[in-house]
Parts: sequence; structure tokens; C-alpha cells
Amino acid sequence: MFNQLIELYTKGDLAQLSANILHSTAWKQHDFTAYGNMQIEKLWLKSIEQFGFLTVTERQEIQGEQFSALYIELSDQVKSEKVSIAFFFEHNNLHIKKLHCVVDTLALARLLQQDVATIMQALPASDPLLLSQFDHQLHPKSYHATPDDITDLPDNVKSTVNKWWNIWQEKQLANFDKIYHNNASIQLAGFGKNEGFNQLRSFHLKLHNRMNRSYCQLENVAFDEAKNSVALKWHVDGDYIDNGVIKRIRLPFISIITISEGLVVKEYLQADWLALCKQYKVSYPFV
Amino acid sequence: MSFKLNNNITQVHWQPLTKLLDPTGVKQQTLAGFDEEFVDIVDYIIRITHRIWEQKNVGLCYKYYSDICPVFTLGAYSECVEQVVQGTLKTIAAFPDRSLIGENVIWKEESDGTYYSSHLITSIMTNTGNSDFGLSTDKTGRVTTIADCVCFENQIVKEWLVRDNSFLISQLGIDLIDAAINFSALQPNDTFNEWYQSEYTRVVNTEHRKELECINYNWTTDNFVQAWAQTLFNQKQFSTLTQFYHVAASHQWPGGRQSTGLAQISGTLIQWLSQCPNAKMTVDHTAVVGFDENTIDIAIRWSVAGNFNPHIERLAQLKGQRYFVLGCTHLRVKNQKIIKEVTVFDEIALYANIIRESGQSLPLLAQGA
Repeated sequence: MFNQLIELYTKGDLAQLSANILHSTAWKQHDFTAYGNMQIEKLWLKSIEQFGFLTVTERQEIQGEQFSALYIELSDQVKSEKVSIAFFFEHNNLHIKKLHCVVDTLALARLLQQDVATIMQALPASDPLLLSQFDHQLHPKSYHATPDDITDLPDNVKSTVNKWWNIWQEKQLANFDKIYHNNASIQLAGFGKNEGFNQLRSFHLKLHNRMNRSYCQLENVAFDEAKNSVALKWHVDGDYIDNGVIKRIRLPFISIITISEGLVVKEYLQADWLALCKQYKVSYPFV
Repeated sequence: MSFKLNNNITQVHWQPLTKLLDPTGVKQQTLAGFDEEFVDIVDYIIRITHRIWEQKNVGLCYKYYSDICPVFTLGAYSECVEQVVQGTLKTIAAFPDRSLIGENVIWKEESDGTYYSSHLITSIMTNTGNSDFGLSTDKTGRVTTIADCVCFENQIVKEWLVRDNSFLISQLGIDLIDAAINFSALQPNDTFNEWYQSEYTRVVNTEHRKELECINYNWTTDNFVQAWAQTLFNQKQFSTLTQFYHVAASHQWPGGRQSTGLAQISGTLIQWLSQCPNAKMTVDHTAVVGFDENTIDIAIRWSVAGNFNPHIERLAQLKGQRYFVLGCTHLRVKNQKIIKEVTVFDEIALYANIIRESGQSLPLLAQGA
């Protein structure tokens, strides 16, 4: 299914991917969930209009049994700009049941040479979520999902992935030193690529400090044994303070990490910043 | 797991629509009195729904509904097929492109020879005509419905219908309380009023203090569902969520409440129950089918009754009014823990009933509310 997804954007091949789509497939993109051919096709056509027919310059596949993920970077050689897309999907190797597509809309704005307000205007109206207030504290007797609660991971991967999750869930910053390779390649949506974890750590602090009561919740994990790579779908809930007004927000992420000898050597952290700004009417930039 | 998986009955989850509409297998259930073309009760429900709604053969209601067919919703009661036909036509006129995407059918063969089906449906529809919600908005929305039907000899003979209308109107740009005020002006018939009264009395008097445990040695679907209702909804013991839900369970509730994991689910339930702090819940029907070797799907029809404790300022004067909900839930349970929940009820009808019973006249937003 990886090729069908790629050929949708690079060649406009709707027919091939449509064969993998069920009447009941849910396709979530820009925090809007499309169902049925009419809505899903409209999303595809809009994406192809915005970033179609470009060249794939980076690609990572996570082939899991029931859940898989794909990260691609599409480049415009003339403008020297690129846009990245991450997919996390439930499948049975024949059909896709549920897919979450996260586009780096800040990179898209640069690619299209449009301001963020124009891009936001073009995004579909997000699902009107009603976010509950809850106790976000990690009480000693409360229980919060960790990666190995969700999927079976081999021992050599489990420890690293759980420590990676502790960085976000427990805000355990010291784990950066422990699990990242010094030369790890880290691509952070909207902020570009860096070597080493310094930029990611700085982003982590800014993200949590821009919110009160932030809470990270793991949704799903896909593991590719052959590539020693893991894709994690997760989100942060929190109170975002925007010009003195408290807004309850949810920020979805897809993270794809590659592990070698117990260390993270490559990571993509994908978020759709402009969909977030549109959904919760928060001002840009978010961090 | 106390359930034997039946691989031969149609399972909707991974089936393309073309296969669902043209089943090639042989008949798997007796289906006495049903048309020969139907191979099982799931096939019956999926195909008649497609024919009536997506192919717009509204008149097929005369064939697939009995002349006398009580249909219960939280907003109204109808009793005959003529009302089903008229209601179907009105909805299609207001939402002409309405699709009915069958997500799941959980069924049960009852001891009286009837089949019970619980059909989870996602609809996408554009509001191009005037409806009970108000003037047309020309916006497209998504809505989840659960239709619980009693089927006998090729016809639906009784139905409970719940729809997440508050989520739909939030996409259409209609205010929830305005919609409830408008709905409250519609006068339900006497049968609805009698049903509402008797159901409220039945539910509010349920025994709610008895402790129900559901642990490994006594785990059955029925014990699990009864304990879920008693422990969480009647006794409000939220730290026990871990006995019922997987740590990354997904949880969809009306009005756009979407949660993942124990902390968020706990928050959703606490906030909802705080609207009716003395809520009592009864489990009125359950059905269970296998999903895969370790996973089952459970359909629950339930009721909640108590007294209203408004958290919305505009409804503050309705404090203490009777609060009654007809709801349906689909649970996917893996290794004895819920991994996915979809709960549906009609919040507009819920508030409309409270407003109507109070006899008070509340202002709309346009009237300065």
C-alpha cells in the first residue's frame, strides 16, 4: 500500500489507491475526518493541487501487521522546497480501514510561497471536538499507556522506545542523553532537519511551557522488525494560553524513530501546525 | 473469553461494499420467513438499509417494516410504517446525499424466534433542505447512528434509534441549546409521554448499590456489561476504569467527545455524569458477536435517569428537572478489556425533553440569550 499512497501524490493515481479504500474507510487529514468516496476524493484532489507531481526525495516505511506507517518527503527541484507527509494506518494488507495523514503545513506554505493565513483558509473545517477536562497528573496508583502496553516489542527495542516515551509522557529530559545518538538525524515538522537532539529538546521545553496541564497520550504503535523502526501515534492535550485566554487544545503527532544498537539514530516528528491553529483558533506561531 | 467465534456470519469490518451487496456464500442461518436471498441477519440489515436509504427506495419500508412497528427515539415515538416512510422521505429531502455507511452489525438470535440487530452507521450528509434543526445550512456533516431492531419474518417489528445529533449540528453551525429549544416546541404523542414516564420510573428505581465484580474466574459478557454499568455509572468508581478499559482504549461519545486512554475517558464520564449526579443506569439489552480469536463486539442498549444539574448557564433555571437518556453503546473487547467504544444518544432531544417538561420559555441566541 506504500506505493499506492506515493503514486497518488506523485502521479495522481486515484484508481490504484481507491481499490484499497472501503466504503467505511476513515481518512483523517488536517484534523478533519473524511468518510466515503466523495469526501476522501476531495481531500486527495486538494492535496494533489497543492503538492502533487513532485519527486520523492525521502521515504521511510514501517510495515506492521495490523498498523503501518509511511513518511515521505516530496521535493520541488526548481524551488528547492519540500513538504513532508506522514501516514499511520490500520489495514489488512488489502484494504485500509482508518488512516491518519499529517502534513507539514508550514513547509507547505513555503513550498507554495503563500502566507500561513492563506494556507489555513484552504484547509477543511476540522472535526468539532469537545475536549474533556481530566486529571492529568501521574498519580502513583494511576496508569498511563506505554508503548509496550500497545504492541509487543523485542527487548532491545522496548527499553529505548519506553525511554523515548518517558521524555514526552513524564517529561524526563535526561533521557535525551541516554537514548539519542550524537549524530541522530531529526526532522521536526515546520522546523527542518538537524543533527543531534538539541533542537528537539528545545522544542520539547517550548511546547510544554506554552501550555498548562499538558498531558501526552499514546494512541497506537506500529513496529517494523526488519528495519528496527517504530511509528507512534500520540497527542498532547493541554490548556494553551493565547493572549490571556485559556483554550483547551489537542495536538496530534506521528513520530517515526529508527533504532540502532539501542540508540535513536533517526527520527521524524510530524505535526500539522496550521490545522491546529485553525481548529482551536490559536495564534501563529504556536511555539 | 466466553464466546465462540462464528466465522460464517457476514462481518462488515473489512468487506468492500460491492461484496456486501452481492454475497456469494450459502445461507448460514435459518431466517424463517425471510426472503431466500438473505444469507444471514447481517446481510439482511446491510442490504435493506442500502436499498431504502442509499438507493432511495423509500417505499421498500412497506416491505421491510411491519405495519405496526413501534420505533422509540428520545425525541419521538412512531408506531406504523407510514410514519417510517414519511420520516425517511423528510430526512432525505433535507439531506439528499445522505450516505449510510454500515460500520458494524452486532446481532443475537432470541429465544422467541426473532433476531435482534444493532447497526452502527456513519452518515455523511449535506443539509440542503430545511429540517427539524431549522433552515438549510448547505453544510456537510457527519453523524453516528445506532439502530437496534427486532427482525421477524423479513420485517423489522420494533426499533430503538439513537443518533448523535449534537455532533451533527455543531458541524452545521447550529447552536445546541437553540436546537433543543426549537425541538421542545414539538409536542410528542401520548404514547411517547407514557413510555417516557414509565421508563423514567423504572430506571430511577434501579438497585444501584450492590457491588458487582467481574474478575477472571467469573468473566462472562453479561457480568462484564453489568459490572461496567453498575461500577462506573451507578457507583461512579472511576479508579476501576482500569478493570474495564485498555490503557489506550478509544472512546467516542456524543457531541464530539473523543478520548483515548484512562485519564481522558475518566474525564469524559465524570463531566457527563456531573450533569446528573444521581444518575442510575440500567442495561436493557446486550448482544455479542466474535470479531476475531481474541476480540468480541458487544452491543448494549441502556437507559439513564436522574435529575438535571445544568453546567450550561442558559439552562441554569432547569436544575432538578427529570433527566432521561436512551443510549446505545458498541464495545470492542480484547482479552477482557475494552479497546474501542462508540456511545450514541441524542443530546438535543435530551435537553428538549427537559425544557418541555419544565414548561419554561427559554430565549434563543437570536433573542439575546
